Amino acid sequence: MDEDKILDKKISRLVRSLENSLPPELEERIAIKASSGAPHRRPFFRKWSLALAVIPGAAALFFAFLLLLPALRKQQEPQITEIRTQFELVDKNITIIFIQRPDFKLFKED
Amino acid sequence: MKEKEEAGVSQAAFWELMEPVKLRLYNFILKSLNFSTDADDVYQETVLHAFRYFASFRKDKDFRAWIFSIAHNEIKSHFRRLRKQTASHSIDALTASQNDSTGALVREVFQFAARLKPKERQVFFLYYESGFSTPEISGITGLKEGYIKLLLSQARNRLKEALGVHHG
Repeated sequence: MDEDKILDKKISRLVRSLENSLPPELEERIAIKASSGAPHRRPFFRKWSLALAVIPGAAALFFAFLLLLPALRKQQEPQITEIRTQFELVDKNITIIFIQRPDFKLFKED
Repeated sequence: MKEKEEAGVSQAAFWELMEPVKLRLYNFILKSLNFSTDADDVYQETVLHAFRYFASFRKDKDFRAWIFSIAHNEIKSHFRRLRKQTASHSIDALTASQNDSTGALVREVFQFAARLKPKERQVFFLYYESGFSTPEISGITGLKEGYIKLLLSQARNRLKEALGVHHG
C-alpha cells in the first residue's frame, strides 16, 4: 500500500512536471465571449416543464386504462333470471307452469 | 436594475472561483486530449458553458468538481464528434527543456497515457494531474469507484515496470 502511495506521488510529480500556462489570448477570447452573452437563466416554462409534463402524461395513462378496461374486465357468468317448472296433465289436457323470478317468491312467508 | 446587479455579482463570483482552478483545468484538458491543438477550444467551451449555467451551480457544492465534470463532458463530446485526426504537440518537443533522466521518465508516462482509451486517460489525469480522490472522480465521470480503482491499479502496475526500467 505504501509502495503504491510512493509510486502515485512519483507519477503525479512526473505528470505535473509538464505544465502548460494558459495562453493569454485564449483568456482574452473567453472574457470577450462571456461578456457578450449574459449568464444563462432558466426560463420559467423550462423550469416547470417537467412538472407540467406530468399532467398530460397522467391523462394519457388514464385514457389508455379506460381503453383497456373492457379487455381486462372478467367475462361475466350468465345469470339465472327465472326458473320454470312445468307439469302436464295429459289426460285432462292441462299444462301447469310455475315461474320463479328473483322478485317473486313462490312460497310467500308471512 | 436589481436583476442586473445580481447578474454582475454572480459573474464576479464565477471569475473569482475560476481563478484558482483554471491552470489545473487547462492542463487536465490539454493532457486528456494528448496535447491536441483542439484543447484550447475545449477549454473555452468548458468555461463558457460553466459561465452560462453558473446560476444552476449549488453554492454548497464543490466548484472544482463541478467545473471538472463539465470539462469531462466537453472532452467526451469532443471525442464523439472527432472524425479527423487533429494535430498535437509532440511529447519530445515538450520535454526538451527537462534533463535527460527526468525527461525520459516524463516521456514514458505520457506515452503510456497516450495509449489509453479517452475515458481511461481522463481518469488517469483526474487522479495524477488534478489530484482528485477516487470518490470525487466517480462523481465527476459517473464511473463506479471499483472500476476507477481497477484502472488506476492497472496503470500503476504498467508504469511500475516502465519506470523501473529507467531506474535500472
